[in-house]
Amino acid sequence: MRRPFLSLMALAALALVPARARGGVVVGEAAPDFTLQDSKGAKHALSSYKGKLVVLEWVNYECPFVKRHYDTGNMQRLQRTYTGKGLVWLSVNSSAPGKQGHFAPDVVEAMLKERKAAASAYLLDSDGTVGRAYGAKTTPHMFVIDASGELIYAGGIDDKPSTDSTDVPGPKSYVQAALDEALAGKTVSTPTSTPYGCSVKY
Amino acid sequence: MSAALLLLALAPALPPSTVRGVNVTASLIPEQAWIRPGRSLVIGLRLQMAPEWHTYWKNPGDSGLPTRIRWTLPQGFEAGPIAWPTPERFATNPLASYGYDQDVMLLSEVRTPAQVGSPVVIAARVDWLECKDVCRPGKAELAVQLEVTGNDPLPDPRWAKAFADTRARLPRSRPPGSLAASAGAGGITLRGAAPAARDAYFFPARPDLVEHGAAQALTPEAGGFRLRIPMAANAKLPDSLEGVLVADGVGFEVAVPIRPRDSKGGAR
Repeated sequence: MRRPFLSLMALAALALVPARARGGVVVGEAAPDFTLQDSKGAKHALSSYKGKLVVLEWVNYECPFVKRHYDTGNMQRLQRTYTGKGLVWLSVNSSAPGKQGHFAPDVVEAMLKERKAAASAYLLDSDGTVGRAYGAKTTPHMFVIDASGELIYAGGIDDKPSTDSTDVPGPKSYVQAALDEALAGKTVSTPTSTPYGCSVKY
Repeated sequence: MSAALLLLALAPALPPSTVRGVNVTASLIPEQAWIRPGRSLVIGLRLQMAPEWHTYWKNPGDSGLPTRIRWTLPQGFEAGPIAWPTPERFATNPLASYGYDQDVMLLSEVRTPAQVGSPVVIAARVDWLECKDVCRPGKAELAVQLEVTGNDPLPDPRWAKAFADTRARLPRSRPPGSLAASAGAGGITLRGAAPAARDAYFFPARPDLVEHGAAQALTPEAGGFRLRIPMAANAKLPDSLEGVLVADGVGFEVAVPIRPRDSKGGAR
């Protein structure tokens, strides 16, 4: 007797689901779990970071939009500041083998050193599963997940779609605002924005 | 040194009208051969892309940047917005971007005041993003110089065909028959009361509404067609649907109110 009732409930719930695309995660819902290997060979499960704020940063160092944030030290500064506050920062590379931006782990290690990157880990998503699950479109494309595992921000790093490093002073950093608000226990005031950058090379 | 030569030496060098890049050559092309004060003129920014490279539309889609023109004009001159030709879709599953490959001209109308000194220098700083699998920012400082006369401006015959071809690529202002948009589960339905198109695609003007990489299903209906446009994750439904509908290769400007989904939640 319970089963038909449950499926009716499930149907009712489906009908209430807001309009959404086939790919991509919706802010306010649970962030999809994943396990990926990092550039050092260690495995990272998103679920193992429950209780902490997590940032996912889609990255491709050769992309001029990403370069703007690494050449100016903006990205490393954000990584250092917020990992210093106990947050987990995961850079994710979804470039497929043979596509631009796909590198062997030792090459990635050298690139990380050269940039003094300060993320908690650099994850290799070569088959693009995690990128597709999150609907990662660009590098950079940023996601923030709260301590309960709920997605609280998805979008651009800031409001300045540009490759010009002289454009860095002045932009509103959506990610920084989201993290400051989340750390202060507040609701994120701008939970979504349009990501900008190079396409993820699936 | 003669006074004329001295003046020439002191005058700042005029930027070129064409800058050749590795992947993109940018040129500023005035449609008319001269300026008549008080009459507007049309300036084309021509971008010629190397094979496989493209630049972007006003909504670049999932990635990229729209081409940007920053004008430097004499006092009293005013440049209008870019008239964007109908874009193409560049799909790399699961993503897609919108723009132009090969050769495109972006038109801007420039209004001139009643009093104009001759010659007139129209200069522009142009920024674009050029991509194939990799992307590079491109920029150029361009200028053209035009004489001012009291005669009606005539089109420069060298560019007549390029301007005619470009105008043919601009979206038409009137859609084929009436259009209506309604919100449904996961997307927007655009209905057209025109003979069913064999293929159709809607290019949204704003970047945060449509899942650019998703297919749009075209269904013939009695007296027209229905196009299902999947919305992007986290997209908020706007009051109106704005963009360009391409039906059988012809672009049409679209600006129609979106009828909200009915309270029962059913797709209509």
